[in-house]
Amino acid sequence: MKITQTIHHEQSGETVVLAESAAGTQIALCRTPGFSTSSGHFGLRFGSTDTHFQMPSGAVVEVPGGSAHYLEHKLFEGTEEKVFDRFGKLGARFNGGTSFRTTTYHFTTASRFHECLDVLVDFVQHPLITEERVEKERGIIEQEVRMYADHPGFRGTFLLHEALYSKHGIRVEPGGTVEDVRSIHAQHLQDCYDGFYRPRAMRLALAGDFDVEEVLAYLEPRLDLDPTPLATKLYPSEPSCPAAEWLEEKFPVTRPHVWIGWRAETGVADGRERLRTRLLSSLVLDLAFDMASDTHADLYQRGVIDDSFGCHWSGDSDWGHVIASGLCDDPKTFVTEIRAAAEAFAHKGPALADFERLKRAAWGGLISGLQTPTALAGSILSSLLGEVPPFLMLDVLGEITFEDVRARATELFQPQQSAVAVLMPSE
Amino acid sequence: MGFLQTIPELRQPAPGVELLCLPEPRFKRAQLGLSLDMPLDAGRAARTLLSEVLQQGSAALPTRRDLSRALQAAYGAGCSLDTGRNGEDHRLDVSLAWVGERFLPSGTTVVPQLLTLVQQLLEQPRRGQDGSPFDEQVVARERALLLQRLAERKDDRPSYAEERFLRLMCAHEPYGLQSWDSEEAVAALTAADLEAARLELLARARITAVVVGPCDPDIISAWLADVFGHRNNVVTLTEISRPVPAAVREVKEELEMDQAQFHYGFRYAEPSSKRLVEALGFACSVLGGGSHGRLFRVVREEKSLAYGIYATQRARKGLVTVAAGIDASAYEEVRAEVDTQLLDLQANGPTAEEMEMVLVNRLDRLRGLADSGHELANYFVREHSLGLHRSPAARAALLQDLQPQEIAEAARLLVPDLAYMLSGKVS
Repeated sequence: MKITQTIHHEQSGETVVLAESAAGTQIALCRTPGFSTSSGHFGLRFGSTDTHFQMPSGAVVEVPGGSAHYLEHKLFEGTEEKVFDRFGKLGARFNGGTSFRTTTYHFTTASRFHECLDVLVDFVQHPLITEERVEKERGIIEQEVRMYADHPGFRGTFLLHEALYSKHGIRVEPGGTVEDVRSIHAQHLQDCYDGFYRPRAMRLALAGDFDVEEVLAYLEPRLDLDPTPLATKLYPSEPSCPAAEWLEEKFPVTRPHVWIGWRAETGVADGRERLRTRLLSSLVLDLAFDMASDTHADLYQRGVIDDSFGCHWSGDSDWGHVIASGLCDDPKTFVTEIRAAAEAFAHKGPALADFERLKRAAWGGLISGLQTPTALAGSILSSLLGEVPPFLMLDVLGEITFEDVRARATELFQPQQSAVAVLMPSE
Repeated sequence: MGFLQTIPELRQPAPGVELLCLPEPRFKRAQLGLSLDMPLDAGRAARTLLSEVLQQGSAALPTRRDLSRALQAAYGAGCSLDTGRNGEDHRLDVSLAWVGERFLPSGTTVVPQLLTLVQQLLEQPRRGQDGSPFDEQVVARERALLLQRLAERKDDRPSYAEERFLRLMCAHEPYGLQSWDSEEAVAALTAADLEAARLELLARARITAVVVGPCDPDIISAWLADVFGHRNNVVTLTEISRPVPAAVREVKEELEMDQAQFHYGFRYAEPSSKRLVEALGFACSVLGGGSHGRLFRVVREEKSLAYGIYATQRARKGLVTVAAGIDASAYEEVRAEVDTQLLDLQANGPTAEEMEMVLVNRLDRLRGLADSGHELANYFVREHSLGLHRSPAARAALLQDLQPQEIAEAARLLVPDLAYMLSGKVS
């Protein structure tokens, strides 16, 4: 185990030690003196959209949607003892999560950090996947998928993804459909595990009031040394324009729910540039539409939007889009008004005073998000999986200029890259 | 790390105002919460709409945009007002949060201007141009939006199911009342009603304030004395009602939805000792306190009938409620399992393994709460509202002393009242 870098971040007041295991697992340790809790977040860049890949042997594998999420569930089954019970006996809080591109596992404890760390790295690195075990989990996951199926915000977002993209994996929710869940077998999950859960792909972030050297020594014999290379992800080629202009479904809602999307560039491969794109795009959206903006005030006063309105940026290495959404009485009027407001903002551009005020607020929001050891470890793992150093977002935010924001505003709302999804009341 | 040994300093800076002080320089963000409690009387509709109207601006910051800009300029501070039922009282919450001043440029302070901002919202709202107490257009708009949100609450099926369940279970008690009274009451509100409600609230509400994080409590205390020091007619809130059910009831309702929502409610009489109060919380945790709970282990892990099933203690009211998202066809099986597990707990108490698991989990939470401003505030506000005022260390000592037979005795206090399911049409 070698320490590769120590980063002291002046703005946040935090220090992170970066280390790497012999097999390439990257570890980040953040000491939080005086805090009672410690937290460990372990993850990899493998998520729900990674359903098609070529194994190091050359074999090409295709697995059903929802496989990464199903695998996350199965890892919690453990080998001899359920992970629920192992963490439960230690009194820890724990969970996992699967997104489009990542899977993460984490715990927080106020008393038994080393034992929890042992459980975390053990169950993620040593699964037991059998057909019987996979079958047993199916009903639980089906209920989880159905839990989201009743949520209009969830359904509408994925309907918009279907409108924005023709083939992309983000058209399907991370848990997959009920049909996907019913078609997953042990071999699918084993292939996913063998292809991606390799030491060189794993990232571990730890935060707590611990001794860094001692924790690294504790970890060394517990981290796998398997040198097997990773599988290669195969993504479909996505057309450059939206798949549909307008998709509509009936749903048990009181009023129409509307999502408007604008595709931007096809994605940003470089981690730092991807982070910058995210921050820059979010600043533009806040300047255009947040409650402090003239646009928001005008739309709200005229009754076009209410407090259900919101917008955000979503992007990774091969997608990038803006989503604006809200409830309304007349979807066509809502869409026309929001598009016109977006285009007017892009044409006029933001005001310097607004930019400076909003940048200050964004900085406060980022600092505030680094409060507890749990939040710190989560943020650090997110950085590692985003292929950037911890806390870089604060530096990148500081570097963004008014000119950057003005330029980005002109890129984000291209009419030909826009699509709409609507959930209409079914009753 | 050990348990926090202290309880917060309790100040009474003004008549009917209690301030819990939790200064904590480790935190990056400070928060101040004010809870203004009134009875669940006929004025609650006006207070509900009032909280929306007040957030539209003050005399000094006359629009929501101005207000948002002021908060952004204070490095991304947050301020919100909200209303709801708290036990059998009606509560208006004012929440304020800001980045600790050690992270701001040298000499920068935001606390005085944020306190002034809150004071102006409460004391000097934006008036109507014709001298009316509020801008009639703003009142009309916010009233319409509130009515719309009330109509839309069905769209969130899990929340709506819980609301229906509690309303049915506590149909003849204040606990079963809607915090906004009724849609008809909201529709009839005028600007004059809101002004009367505002004046009554400021003059008469019983106020609990809690300040947590990097903030000098003296500043908050002095501010509260300034704002509320002149009061002399603070409301007396009534004791919460705790009726005992005559027989278990069952209600099934239908609404278009995929996953059914199951709720099962139990009541208990006032425990005869503080020790029994703690034992009841312990029993609730054994039954369904998380992944170590019996219901999670049996209903989810053994029978795969739900993604999650949890029991919640509502200590002031004397309720324990069990909730799960299930397939409607599994209703009888899930309900029978809850009965079986509770009867076993009442007859035999927890197993040695359950005692250990629940104890270690509860102790870990108590140790860890010192790391989170939100959890610290919640813990001490709960202790305060229950009249217990225990430090985490004192509570931990009590927990460690509890015996299995006391847990069984506490579980025997639980009397089933209402089993409820909201589901799609069941064929």
